[in-house]
Amino acid sequence: MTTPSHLGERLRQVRERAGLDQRDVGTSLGIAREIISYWENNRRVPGLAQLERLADLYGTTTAALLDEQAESTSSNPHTLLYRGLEPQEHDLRAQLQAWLRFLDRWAELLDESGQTLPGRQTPPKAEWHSPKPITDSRRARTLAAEVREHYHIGEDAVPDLQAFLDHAGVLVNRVSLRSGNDKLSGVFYNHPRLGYCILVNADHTPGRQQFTLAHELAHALFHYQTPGLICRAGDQDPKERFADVFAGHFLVNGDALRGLVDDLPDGCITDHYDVARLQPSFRISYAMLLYRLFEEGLITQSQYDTFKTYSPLSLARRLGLEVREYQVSVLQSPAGLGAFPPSVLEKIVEFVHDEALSPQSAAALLGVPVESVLQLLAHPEAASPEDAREFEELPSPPTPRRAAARRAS
Amino acid sequence: MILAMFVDGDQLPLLSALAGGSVFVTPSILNPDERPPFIDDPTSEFARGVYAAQQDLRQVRYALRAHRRSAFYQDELWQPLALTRSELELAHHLSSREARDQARKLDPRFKAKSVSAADAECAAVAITRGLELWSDDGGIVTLVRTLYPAQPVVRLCALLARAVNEGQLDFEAALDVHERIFKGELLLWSTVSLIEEGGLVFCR
Repeated sequence: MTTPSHLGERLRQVRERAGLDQRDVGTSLGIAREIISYWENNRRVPGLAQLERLADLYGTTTAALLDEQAESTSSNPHTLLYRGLEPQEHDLRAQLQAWLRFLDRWAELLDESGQTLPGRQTPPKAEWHSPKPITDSRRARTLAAEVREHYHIGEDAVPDLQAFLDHAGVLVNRVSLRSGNDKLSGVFYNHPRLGYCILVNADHTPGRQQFTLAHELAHALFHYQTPGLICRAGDQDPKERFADVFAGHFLVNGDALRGLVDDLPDGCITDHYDVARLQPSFRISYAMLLYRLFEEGLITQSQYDTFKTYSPLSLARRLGLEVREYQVSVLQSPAGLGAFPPSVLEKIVEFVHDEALSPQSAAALLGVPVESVLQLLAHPEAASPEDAREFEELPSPPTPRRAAARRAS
Repeated sequence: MILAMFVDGDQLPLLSALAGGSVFVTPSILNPDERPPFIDDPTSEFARGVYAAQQDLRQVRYALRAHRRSAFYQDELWQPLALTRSELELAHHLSSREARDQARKLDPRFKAKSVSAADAECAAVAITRGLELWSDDGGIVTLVRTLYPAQPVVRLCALLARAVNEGQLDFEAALDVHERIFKGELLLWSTVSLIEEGGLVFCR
């Protein structure tokens, strides 16, 4: 361990190495600069929770802050992921580090509970294995169709891609990356213990998030040789380009799109309202749908240029369509739990029931207030009279014997 | 968590009576350097509850929580404890897998797979300074009872039982606080209840 008088010096040394001044750290932790100075001059000692925040911000671990030797003897397995960051992106690095800290702790919790962890993953289909990442965008259409076939998705829209990926064993987190990080859409990471993990920028609209998830799925299946990728809008890397084209074809199957356009009153796209009417069938952003229509030759360049000048939210409202796809969700209730997939939350409940976790330790693990975990654990609210009425309106359920007979026939 | 229950449940006089003065609080539980209202998610457990409540003040329970907790920052009932470096290191150890493995060796029934920074820090200070640890976190309570059997640890229900046994509260009132306010309104996760037998109140 660091000797008592050296803790402050160690904090200063690691901060300076991270290229931060005391004011940056104070702002990031929401406390006065003077407090950071007190810590570094050994006049005061940070709390353990504050030390964890400092470790995130400096891109290291609490163990390494407390013990210099711990840092020199153990290599950080996540360092490769940081290659995609600019040196001045301290806040973003801290957000990523907090995500990685969650992943490491989640892996440790599962391991300590006796569960087998997958380790770094490879694609489920042998034909997708390749010594090098696939970057030829001309193959994206065929591979998107193969992925849909492999997962039995058919040609329809995937209503909730996060739920689908969760079911497929990919750990997805939706994290608010705060303003200033708008260009970052997502991160793919082949975690050394948990395998495929994806982070999505929760500050984007659901339509954009759906695209990001499909994009990161392409990285997972066809760029799994790379430990991790940080994805930003407009990135010209061939892997990013491939993932973009794949996501377009995966989310909007060309044949399904043509079929729906054929079914329009005029058998073709005549105006921007037609695009707005097609949008709910695919649950993606208006921009992405326009792009795919143009790519499939179903609208002209002139239509594409004109339609993209309209507000999709306003078009959907005028037609009385669902507008959720265009709006960033500002409130997630219970606070913070929206960042996690159903499988993680279910497991958390199970761990609390088994006394492997307390509500407090679950909250600390997830980085949410304890009150959110208490709400998660609470007995579900009683069905409203409206909920109950719907059951009354349904036909009587078949008896078990009849149901079994039907299955047999 | 215990502190939050008393503050959110508007039970400060009872907390004061139980403490016989002030309660000592460590920075990961409640940090005097962080003050509401919060612009970003703060670090301490108590403040994170305020920050979350601030996001939806239209709901009465969130507005009440934000109001009561914000007011508590000015209250003289709590005293912040400054950690020493050895306490920080002990807290880090108590939150580690090594400590849990050690506990499992001593008692194979030990179940906890994780301990929060805030609870580990509280325990480290109580152990080092010979203070009574008030915690309702099952993980840290069993960890401390296994590794430091001489360390006094009191859970939330036992605090209410103590209040009745010491004449600070009658049984019905304590039962109301525990069942209706803590468990019912504040969703306290607990399987025990207050029981009165032979003139003594305890938890089962």
